[in-house]
Amino acid sequence: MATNRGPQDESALDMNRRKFFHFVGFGALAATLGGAAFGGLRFIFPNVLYEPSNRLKLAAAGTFGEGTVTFLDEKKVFIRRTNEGFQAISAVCAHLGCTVKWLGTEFHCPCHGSTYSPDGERTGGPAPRGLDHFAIETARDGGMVVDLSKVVTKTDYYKA
Amino acid sequence: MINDLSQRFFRSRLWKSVFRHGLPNTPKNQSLVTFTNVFLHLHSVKSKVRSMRFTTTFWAGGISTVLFFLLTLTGIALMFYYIPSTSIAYDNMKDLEFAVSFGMLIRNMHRWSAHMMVLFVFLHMCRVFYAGAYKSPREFNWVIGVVLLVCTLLLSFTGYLLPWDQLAIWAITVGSTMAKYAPFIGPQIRFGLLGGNIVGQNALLRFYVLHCIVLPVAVLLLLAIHFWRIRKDGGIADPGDTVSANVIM
Repeated sequence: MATNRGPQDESALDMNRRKFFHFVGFGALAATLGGAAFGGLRFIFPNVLYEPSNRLKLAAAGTFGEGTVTFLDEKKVFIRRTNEGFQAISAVCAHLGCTVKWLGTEFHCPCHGSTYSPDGERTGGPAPRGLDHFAIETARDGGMVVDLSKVVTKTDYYKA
Repeated sequence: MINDLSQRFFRSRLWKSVFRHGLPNTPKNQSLVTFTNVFLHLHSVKSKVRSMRFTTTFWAGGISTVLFFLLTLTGIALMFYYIPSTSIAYDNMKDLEFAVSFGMLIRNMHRWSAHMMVLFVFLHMCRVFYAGAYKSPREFNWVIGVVLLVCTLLLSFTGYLLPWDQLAIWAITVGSTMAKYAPFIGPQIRFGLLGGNIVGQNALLRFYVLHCIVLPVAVLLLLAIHFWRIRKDGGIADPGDTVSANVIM
């Protein structure tokens, strides 16, 4: 009668009833804790945001003179018009998020001194890259709309 | 007659139901006062004179703790007049300064205590370091202390946003953009920290909850462990205690 099983009597899988129940029990605990951790983490990332719209309707093209840079404070964006067309350049410094200032010949950030050329390219300071350019689209009434959620390359000019 | 009345009071059932020991006029009762009190018993009944001396610790740890409790009390007082809403937070702060009786005093105490706590936590860490009081078996307590330092700095950071003024918004803009530079998950960290893409209402509410509940509870728990470890490792350590490290192995 085999009542006392030694270690050498176990199967090749090295599993017995006790080990199986340990595995199932702790596994259930691990799964529960993992589920709770995932739920808790996912909870703090919001799905719905009540933030201002990313689209801005611009005034008529004629109000922007050629060779000018106009600052629109509500959306922190510059509208630049050259003989090649329009650009919407972000006023948010690429370094740490301060609002850059247009000095007539270049952009300058008051926080840490980053500088950018008139088309937003980085020319100095701690910024790792140049200013973002946003897409300008044509509205249904023919006017211009800046979409701040769409970043485009700086060679894309909008022709009014 | 007063003596007679007070004698009867201190022997009454009412008194004895609260205090289960006699007045501290015997060594036993003096020990029991600390030993049987939930607030006092985290501290040992007896301490070495050397531990209490100013030149041993410069009282930096104790001052940090007192400042934390001052911050908690003034913070709770401020909460009666502050709403973490972007439309009203700044006005609430102005009201606390100029319309609430003693509001300016409470707010300024809160602000100064915050700055002083960062300073004294730093000085306390210097004292522990230069006295070698982090050496084995006290290494884990040093780690707890570092986490407490991080919590102190986070409390300062989250509290800075609450007045919702220009300093607040731009400081948190810069701070959260710094978080964005973390490798791989940086933008997600910033999104979770602000509760969105901008420093707005979600960010203000989150920082308020972190500042008033999450971080203070974390500090309280860590402080309890921190003091407990000091008790268990034999009280405040000075260079004499750690010259030959008592390595736990």
